[in-house]
Amino acid sequence: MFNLALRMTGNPEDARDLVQVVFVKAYERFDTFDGRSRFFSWIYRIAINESLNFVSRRKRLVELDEGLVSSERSPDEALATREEERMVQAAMQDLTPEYRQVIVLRHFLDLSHVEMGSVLRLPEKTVKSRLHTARVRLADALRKRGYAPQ
Amino acid sequence: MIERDYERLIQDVLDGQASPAEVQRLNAWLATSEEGRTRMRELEGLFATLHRVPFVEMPQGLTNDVQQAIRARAASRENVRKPVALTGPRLKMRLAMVFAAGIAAGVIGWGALTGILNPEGPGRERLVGTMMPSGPPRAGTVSRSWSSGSLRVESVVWRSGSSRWLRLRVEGPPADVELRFDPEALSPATVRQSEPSARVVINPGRIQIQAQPPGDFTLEFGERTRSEAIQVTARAGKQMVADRLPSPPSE
Repeated sequence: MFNLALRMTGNPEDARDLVQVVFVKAYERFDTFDGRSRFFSWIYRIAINESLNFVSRRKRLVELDEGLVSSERSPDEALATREEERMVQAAMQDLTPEYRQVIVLRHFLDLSHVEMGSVLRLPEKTVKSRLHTARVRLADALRKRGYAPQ
Repeated sequence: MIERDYERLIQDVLDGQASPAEVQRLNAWLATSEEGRTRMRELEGLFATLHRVPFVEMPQGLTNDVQQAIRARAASRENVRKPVALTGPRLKMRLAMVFAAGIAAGVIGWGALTGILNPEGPGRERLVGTMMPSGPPRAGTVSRSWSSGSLRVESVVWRSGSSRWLRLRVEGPPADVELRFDPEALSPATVRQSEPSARVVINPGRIQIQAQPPGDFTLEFGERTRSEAIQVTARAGKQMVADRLPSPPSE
C-alpha cells in the first residue's frame, strides 16, 4: 500500500499521509466490502481513488527523498539504481494520473489485466489499451529527460 | 513509423500476454524490420527499467500511525452515532479484519515488488505450453475433487518414470490456485495449460495459478522423494477449498 501511494504521489511524506487516509476510509467503508470482489481489489480501488484526489489537489512535483532506497546492492549499483529510480519517478509525474496508475498497478504491484480492471472498474480491453499508451508516454517522458532505458 | 498493431504486439510479448502464434508473428516481422528491432530494444529497456525500480520499505511507525488514526476515527464515530455498536468484540473484529487484510495486501505488494511473485523475474521463467498431453493412466492414479459454492477443483495425480504428474481442472469463477510442496522433494519441470490467459508463477516449493475457468493444467514434477504430498488451495472470493494431495502409488 505504501509503495502504491509512493509511486502515485512521488513523495514519501505524502505517501505516508495517503496510507493513513486509505486505511481510515477502508475502516469507514468496510460495510461496502461485499466479498464478491477480492479484498485487495477493493482496498486498492480506495487507494487509487484517494491518490487521484490527492494528486488533483496537488500540482507541485516532488522528488523522492535521498534516504529512501534500501537495498543490498553494492554502493555503485545502489547509486545507479537510485538515479534510475529518480528518473522513473520524475517521468511518472509527467504522466496524467490515469496513465500513472496503470503503470503502478501493472509494473510495481504486478496486478494482472483482469485484476486491474477490477480495481479500476474498467473493461480489460480498456485497461490494456491504456497501459499500452501509458508505456509509450513513459518511454517518451524518459527520453525527454535524456534517459534511455536499457 | 511503426504500425500501431506491431507496437501493441511488441508490448504484449514483453508483458507475457501474447500467444505462441503472436510471438512467431512478431519474430517474423522483426526479422525484416530494422525499425521494429530498434523499437523492441527500446521497449525491452523500459520493461527492464520498471522491473528494477526497487521496493521501498514502509516507514517505521506507519503501522502505529494508521492504528491510531483508525482508533481515533472509531472513537469519534462512537461518540457521534452509535455508542455501543462498535465496541468490544465487534470493533476488535473490524479492526482485525482491516489490518489482517492490509497486511495481506502488503505481502502481495511486497512479493510482487521484490520479484518473489513476479513471473518474469530472472531464473523464474514460466515453462508453459498450450498443448495438453495424453491423459493419466487407467491405474495407479489418485483422484480428488473439491468444491465450495460454484468453485470446483478436480485433480488426478500419477507417476511416470521419475516424474510425478498432476492434472488440475478448475471450474467456476476466476480462482487463485496455490500448490505447496517440499522443494527438496519435488521440482517443477513443465506446466501445460489449456487456458492461455491463465497466469502461472513457479517458485521453489510453490506454484501459483490465476485461473480463468474452465481450465485444465497439467504439471510435471521431477521426484526426489516419492512420499511427498502436495498441498492444494484454491480461492475464489470467499469460496475456498484446501486439501493435501497424496503421492500416487508406485508403478
